[in-house]
Amino acid sequence: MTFNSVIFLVFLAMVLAVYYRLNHRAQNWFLLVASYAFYGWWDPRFLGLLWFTSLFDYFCAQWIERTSDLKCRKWLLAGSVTVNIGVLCLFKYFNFFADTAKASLAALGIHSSFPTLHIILPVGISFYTFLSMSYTIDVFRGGLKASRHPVDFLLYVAYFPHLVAGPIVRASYLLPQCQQPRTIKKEQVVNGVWLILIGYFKKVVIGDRLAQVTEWGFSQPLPPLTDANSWLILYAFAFQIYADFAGYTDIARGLAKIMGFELVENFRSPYLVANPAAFWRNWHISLSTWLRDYLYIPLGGNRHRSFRTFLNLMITMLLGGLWHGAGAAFVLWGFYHGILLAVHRWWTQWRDKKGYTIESPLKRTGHWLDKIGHGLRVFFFFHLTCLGWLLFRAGSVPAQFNQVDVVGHYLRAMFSLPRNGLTGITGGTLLLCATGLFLQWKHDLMERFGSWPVQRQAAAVCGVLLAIVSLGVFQGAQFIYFQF
Amino acid sequence: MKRFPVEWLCVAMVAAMWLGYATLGPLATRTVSDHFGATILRATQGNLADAHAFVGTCAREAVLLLSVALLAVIVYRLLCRLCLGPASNKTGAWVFLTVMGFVLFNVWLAVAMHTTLFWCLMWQGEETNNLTRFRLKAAMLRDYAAERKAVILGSSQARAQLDERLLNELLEPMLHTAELHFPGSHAYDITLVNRKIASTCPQVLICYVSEMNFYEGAASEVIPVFFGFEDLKDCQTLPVIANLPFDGMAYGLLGDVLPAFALRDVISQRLLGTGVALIRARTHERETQRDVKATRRQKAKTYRLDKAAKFQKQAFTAFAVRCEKQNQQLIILAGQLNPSVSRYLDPTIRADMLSFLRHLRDQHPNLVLLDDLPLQMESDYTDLTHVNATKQAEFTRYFAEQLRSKILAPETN
Repeated sequence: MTFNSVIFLVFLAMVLAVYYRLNHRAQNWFLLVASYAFYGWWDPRFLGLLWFTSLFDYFCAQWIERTSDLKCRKWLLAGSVTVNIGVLCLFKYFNFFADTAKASLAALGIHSSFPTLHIILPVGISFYTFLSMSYTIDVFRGGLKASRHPVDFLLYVAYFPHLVAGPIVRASYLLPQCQQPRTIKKEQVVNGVWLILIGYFKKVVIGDRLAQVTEWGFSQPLPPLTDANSWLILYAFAFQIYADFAGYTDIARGLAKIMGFELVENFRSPYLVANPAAFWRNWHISLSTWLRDYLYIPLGGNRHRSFRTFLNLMITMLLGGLWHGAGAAFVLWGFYHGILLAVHRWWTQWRDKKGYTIESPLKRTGHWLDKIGHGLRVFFFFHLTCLGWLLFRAGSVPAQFNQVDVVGHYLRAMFSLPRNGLTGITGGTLLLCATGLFLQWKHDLMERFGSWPVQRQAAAVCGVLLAIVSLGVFQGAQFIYFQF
Repeated sequence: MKRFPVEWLCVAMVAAMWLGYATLGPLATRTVSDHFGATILRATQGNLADAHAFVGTCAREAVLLLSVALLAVIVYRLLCRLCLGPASNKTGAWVFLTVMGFVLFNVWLAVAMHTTLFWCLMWQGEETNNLTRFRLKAAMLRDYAAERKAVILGSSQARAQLDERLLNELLEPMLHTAELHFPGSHAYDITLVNRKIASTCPQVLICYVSEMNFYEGAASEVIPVFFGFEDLKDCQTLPVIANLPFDGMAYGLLGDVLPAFALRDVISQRLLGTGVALIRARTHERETQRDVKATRRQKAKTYRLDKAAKFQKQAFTAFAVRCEKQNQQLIILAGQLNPSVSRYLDPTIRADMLSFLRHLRDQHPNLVLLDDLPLQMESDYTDLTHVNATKQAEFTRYFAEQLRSKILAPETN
């Protein structure tokens, strides 16, 4: 059941009706059962895998903590990582690797046949395996004590608001909240309700409306595109994926708040930044910090020479791209962002080396020229991000269609001359994109709903409710990140 | 200096508006209708007889809607004062204010939905939303002074088949016809739509039906728009719950309670433009054109003699009975599908449909069945369902002749 379905609303009402009447221990048990019911609604068979990985990591962490032998601890950690990555590779990447190997061997003139697995990708597997792995790694590093109560740990992994599409919350952040009694403050509930509403607004008004535009743009046969409306469709996709994913996260955080939990922020203002490093500090923050802390830094981070740093960066971003989907397009997208990060890093280092970092007098005085300069850099970087989204979206076209053709079709349209006019989708699409941009611009204000004047709170909630009811799409469109 | 209470200001504005309307309204109406009357008549394509009355109605409704808005502000402020008092800035007060604002806006919308002016403001030319077109034409038909009025009901197939303008050219003043189709209408949907146009008081109802109306299942675009609490009584006489999709009924009932939800397609098309609002339909259209032969076979497979077909026939029978009770003449044209689809159809389906319609005709004296219509070829169709303009004109003339000579003439004589 997705968050934007009627059945979920019924489920939530039932959960809340019981939850508030229970004490702490009973709440944990109840939420665990409810979370499994939520997950099992997709397919009860998925539960087996969730239980397996969760319990395996629970016991691994316990043994890691009990054992003082470093070699044994390393083996246990390796076991946990292997099981989680193994499960992910089997269910998500097996066919991709098999097809890639087959194609590579065929290019060398070697004919081979690899078996194809006909298995359904369990919903949220990329999220909960990373969640669970981070727990055992943190226990190994000594940054976290292993949970003594299995219900607390299982709830940390399976907690339904974040189970299927994140945020990927660290155990050190969420586990204590599961272990200790929760006091639900009025302001927390108020902010939670607002987050839920704004999340639904992003999802059903902005995300789902723009999804219809991008679906048209990427449908088969591909529509004849002018340079202008090819960019428009990319803007639509950029804001669709933002609204869809950020909307989901807002709903998840809001649901958690009204139950007394706090989940981490996952999006800030990703399209209002001027460089790739800032982008990844604002986009899917929980994943980018996970990759930084558990992959990039262990590989060496930026502690080595330039080439090694570059390699670490590229490996991290390639795997980050692969995490999103078992497809060459996603790997390319990760590669693209890796290149952007590497170039930015090189540029920053070169600029520092040459001494070009003296703060501009314009910046000091907040001169309007500096603001325009910043605006242009943001505008330029946003378009670089959109080019990356082209690769990302091409990775989602049905398997029987040629992704290279799709990308080529768009690139030809975007960079062709002469410049042609816009189409009938322009006004509505730009309005929705502008709304998404506004929400990013006012992100900090949105997070402080509880401190707004009462009249403004009422006007905002009323406006959002009316927008959801009158502009929302109610055909139960899937959240994009569920496929990851 | 003491601030003038907003409530009294609103009362004063309402009074001033009505006073202004009473004194200057007739003059303003006359001026506007003199200047723009011809344009209005041309734009309404024969659905309007009196531009002056139309302008007068719109002017009155404009004052009404503004008054209701101001009254809503008054009610909002009074209730805030009564229920919250000095606690109006406390935590949680926003919940009350939100609910009040939401409810009052929906009340305003509920009033607006029943005005012609509102639907005029939602008009967007050729790509006007279906519901807007339907409501505006129903409003115009209600006010149309004619000896006899006819309404064409059915799906977009009915609209493609019969040109109301040509019918009016050929048959007025004997009969004034308005088509109030709604795309995707099946037999039960015709019943729903018919209930919504009761105020138009037509003496004649014309239905162009084909296998599409009876054998394509029960789910349609009409249910979420038109199904309401007054239609729940159908559950007593028809197997509605067993056949209609739950989502569709739920959306329809929610729309009955929340006008903002009922008007979602209209509002989104107005605010976001037809390009964005209709893009899903265009994507679907493009994908069906990708492999036309496969699409035809697929479409033919959706036609079945099953319990949904039985439900549709029961619903249509109930519709015929209702027409008889209201002394309305019901003219049914037993139409056809595009031959490129019907050749893949189970032949028993058409036989079943014709047998059903003939039986209905025999049971109800108010019902006229035209079941030997001229055959239409593949070349007469623009797509799988709709005939082209040439065929439409030809068929309309044929039907007008049938009406004049065989159906309406014996009564006028």
